[in-house]
Amino acid sequence: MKKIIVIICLCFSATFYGQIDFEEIVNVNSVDAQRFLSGYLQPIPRGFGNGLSSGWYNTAKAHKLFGIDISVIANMSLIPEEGETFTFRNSDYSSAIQLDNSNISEANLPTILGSKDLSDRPLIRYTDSNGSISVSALPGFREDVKSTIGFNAVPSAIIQVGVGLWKNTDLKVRFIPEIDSNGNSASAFGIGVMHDIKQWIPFVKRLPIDVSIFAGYTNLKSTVLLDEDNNPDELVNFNTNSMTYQLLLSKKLSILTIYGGLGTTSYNSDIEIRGYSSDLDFGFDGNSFRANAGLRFKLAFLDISAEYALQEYDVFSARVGFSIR
Amino acid sequence: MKKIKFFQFATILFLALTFSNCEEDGAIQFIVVDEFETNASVQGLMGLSSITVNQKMNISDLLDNASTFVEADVESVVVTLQDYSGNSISGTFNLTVGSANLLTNESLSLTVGVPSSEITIPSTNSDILSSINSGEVQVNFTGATAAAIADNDFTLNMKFKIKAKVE
Repeated sequence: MKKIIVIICLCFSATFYGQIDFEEIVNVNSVDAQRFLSGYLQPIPRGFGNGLSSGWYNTAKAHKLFGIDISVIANMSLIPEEGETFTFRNSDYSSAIQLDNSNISEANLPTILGSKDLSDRPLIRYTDSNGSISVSALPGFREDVKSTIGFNAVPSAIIQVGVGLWKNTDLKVRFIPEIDSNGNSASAFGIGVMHDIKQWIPFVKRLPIDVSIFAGYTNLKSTVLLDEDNNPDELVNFNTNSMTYQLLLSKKLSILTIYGGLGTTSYNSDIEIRGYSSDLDFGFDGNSFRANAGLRFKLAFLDISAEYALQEYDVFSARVGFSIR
Repeated sequence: MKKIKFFQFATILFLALTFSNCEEDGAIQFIVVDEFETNASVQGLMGLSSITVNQKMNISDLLDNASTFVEADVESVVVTLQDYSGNSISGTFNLTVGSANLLTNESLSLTVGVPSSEITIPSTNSDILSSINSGEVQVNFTGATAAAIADNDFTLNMKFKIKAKVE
């Protein structure tokens, strides 16, 4: 159940395989640890930030009054090549953490979703009052994720309910029910509004397409205990907020609907690590243009769709549910 | 209500299927380079002109949270003469770790309290993997000195730089 809660569980458990485990990194020097982990972990919050902005709609046509849809939405936030490495510069760190090879001053290290090949993981030298030790950079899990889900991606899933209100406006609420397992927990909540603007624009309202505007907000919260049996105080809090603003268009063709959108997406993610010699807090934010296109299949109440979105991390979404009115 | 539970189940199932095997696909390897010291007490050799020292050295710290050695090589060694009542010991020496002959007839001049220069071990002689037994290796230092040994109780400090691949 712990694995279900959040992907960051993966990276923290993974680091315990190594000579230098997570605890040692955190305890070396909080500034260095914060900087290092910010680079290493970055595809996770960015992946969630981008993924949670997706899958909100599969048509620009609003429900009739009190029409309703309920769906499960799965998002795959695809990790771009630049998300597989981060640059480690000696000058950014204290003498406690440096590249072992004195002939180079910087190197690309794998992120948590990068390579785990030893050839891609240069030696890092850790120094404290007891001396030095050099260890391969932390491994990435690109191949493991690929072999599991077919892509190097951060997946997310959410349940969504949409209700038709007045003036061709849909209210959408999405959530992950609170999951709690031995102190590990996760939940998500989001709200979005889609409004048909075609009705307000002369001439445009006669066009044989649907045109709407959409705004949506999603929040994901989770807490992962890193050593729940021995040190329940050692934990990670992960919190992501995602916003999406788009102009939507769709065209219904019998049981198929082609839809797309243009707009922006933004997110901010916070990671808090607690229970070690010093607390670590780091944040990630990003925003990008967002353009998506998808295809919806609707037969009676059954409602299935898939879409692809171009944004900071491209997102593939699939959705299955029921829609009435 | 049943429908909501179905969707909740489907969401959780998706996440579970996605992540449940992610961390189990193949062993993760690390290269570790660390230094290990051993202090060999040399007793009862005053007046003789040969040295034989046998010493066990624990290198299990290289494993830390890993479980097995995949490769292990001695990259270099530094020898320091300590607590010796004379000034120095010179001669030709042999150093083996397990079955690996790291040094053969190596000329050394050891001055009390002064580390020798770092002696790089050729890669053809550096493999000690097969000699690791329960995290320990046997170190043998032997040789002939140029002059008679002037102390009955002194120490040879040997500092090994070991590079290991662990998983």
